[in-house]
Amino acid sequence: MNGGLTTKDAMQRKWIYEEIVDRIPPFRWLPPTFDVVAQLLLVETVGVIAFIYFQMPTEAAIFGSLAILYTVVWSAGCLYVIPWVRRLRDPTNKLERIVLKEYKSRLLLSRKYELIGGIAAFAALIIYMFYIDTEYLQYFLGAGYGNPLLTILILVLAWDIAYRMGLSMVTALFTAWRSISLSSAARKRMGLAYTAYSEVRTLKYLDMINLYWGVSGILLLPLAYGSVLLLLGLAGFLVGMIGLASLSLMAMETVPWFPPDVESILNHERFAYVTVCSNKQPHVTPVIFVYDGKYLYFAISVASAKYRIIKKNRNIAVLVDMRDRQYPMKNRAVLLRGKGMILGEISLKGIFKLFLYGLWLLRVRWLFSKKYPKYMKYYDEQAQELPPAWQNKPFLSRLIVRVEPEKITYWREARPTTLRA
Amino acid sequence: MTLTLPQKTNTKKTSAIPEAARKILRDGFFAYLGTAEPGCVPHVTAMFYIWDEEKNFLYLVTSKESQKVLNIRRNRKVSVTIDVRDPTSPARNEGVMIRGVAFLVEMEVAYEYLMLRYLEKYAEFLGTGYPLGSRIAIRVTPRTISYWKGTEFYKWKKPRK
Repeated sequence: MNGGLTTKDAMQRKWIYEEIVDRIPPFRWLPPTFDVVAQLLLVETVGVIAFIYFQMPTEAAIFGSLAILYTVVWSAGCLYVIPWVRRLRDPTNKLERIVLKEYKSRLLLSRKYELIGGIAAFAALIIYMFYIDTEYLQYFLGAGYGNPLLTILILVLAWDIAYRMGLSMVTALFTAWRSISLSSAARKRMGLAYTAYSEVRTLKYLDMINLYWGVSGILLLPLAYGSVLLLLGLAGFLVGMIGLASLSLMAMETVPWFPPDVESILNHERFAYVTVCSNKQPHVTPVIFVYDGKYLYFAISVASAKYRIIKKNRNIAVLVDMRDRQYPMKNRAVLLRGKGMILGEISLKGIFKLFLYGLWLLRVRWLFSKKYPKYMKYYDEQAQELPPAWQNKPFLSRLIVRVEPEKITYWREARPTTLRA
Repeated sequence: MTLTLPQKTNTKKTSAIPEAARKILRDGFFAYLGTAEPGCVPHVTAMFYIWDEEKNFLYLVTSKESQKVLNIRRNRKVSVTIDVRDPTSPARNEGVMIRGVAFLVEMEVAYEYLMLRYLEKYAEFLGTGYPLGSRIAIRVTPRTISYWKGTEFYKWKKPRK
């Protein structure tokens, strides 16, 4: 398929836009960040010269600049997004790896898909401007209408816009398709196979670029304002882009953070060993905890040493293990390391956090009562006799700590496997 | 509105290591060793251990290249927790937390009697071809020992000489 190219070389191939930027002299010599600015200045200068020479109406200058601005805003996103896609690392789950590989190759390797959207949008625009509504161009161009040089300039600008809109749409379609397949592939994970969450997060950021491309289409609104057909086309583009981007983000939300072996320990084991550290002195204590699919939560007392230490040093290590004295094979453990966040404090910052995470805390409380019904019953029944620090009063004596895992280590028997979070 | 914050937990100070704590140290099977990486980043692992009743030392055995050994070489302060967990009621949970200083002891030098006890205690886990060569022992000298059962807390501190 790629002729003599290896996959690695092939992934280095670029979108047409990037290749143009790489080859044309003024851009070739500039670092990528300046490319965008140089492009803006160049096209705008040509536009202004044409505007003065042909004595076009003022609107033409403003609207023309908007069109140029759109292409530049789009390009800025493009130059940002492509290096990231190339940098993505492969999931350890085979199905997910195939999904991402296909996505990358569709996006970067095949000119066919890239051009389909652009050509379709360009053809529609040309038919509209030259056959359906000729007054549209006449109005903007004034005396210059019909001049071959100006027609070429208009055609270039029209292609620039159409290519970008078409490519955005095609990219958004691929992205939505990828997210949905990735989410269904993730459900078939086995053992320790997964996609590192940092990669999922990167993909989510990249999907935001699609949304940005969609929203930047609003810059074209004034140009389309005068005509019902153009307005309809633009509205269709905006709705399509925003819809596809949201669909993709929602599908990505359902991709689990950890491989199934790790999740099963986190879901079924009942005790965790929390380690915190102050003045180079570690401190290990057992706690009960819940896992909500992303974060790990445990409750602490405001009178505890843990609370005092976490307030100063947010680094936390949590070990959850399956232990069995008889069968060595049944001993497994997961070590999660990351930053902890204390929720439920009575302070200005704490109350602000309650606004952000209040509903989630209710869910965490529900998870606790589901996982530890006997413990919660004990806390309710013995409320009067327990020392105050032990009473299960939210906010007053009990706080929730949320741990966001950054590093994961998984042990089976005594062999560790380090996984990326 | 006045908020009455709960008082500090009543921790009873003891002059000797509580007998119940000694029992847990004798009978426990897994120890959780907490070490700190530079920048006070904690690390914790489950380990096998032996409690030396006479000298009040705790021995843990691990491989020489493990992260915890690396951490101990840089920072000797460690914390070890051994507990009895009961999923039915928090009142029956009891445990011991030792905070102290760790020394690395080469296996050849380690006290033979203790190593025999170690091999005996974990016979099923270690198997016949257990490589003692790449192993190193960690000896923990307790500075404080905390013991808890349900809501009761006791704390023993090593007397200053």
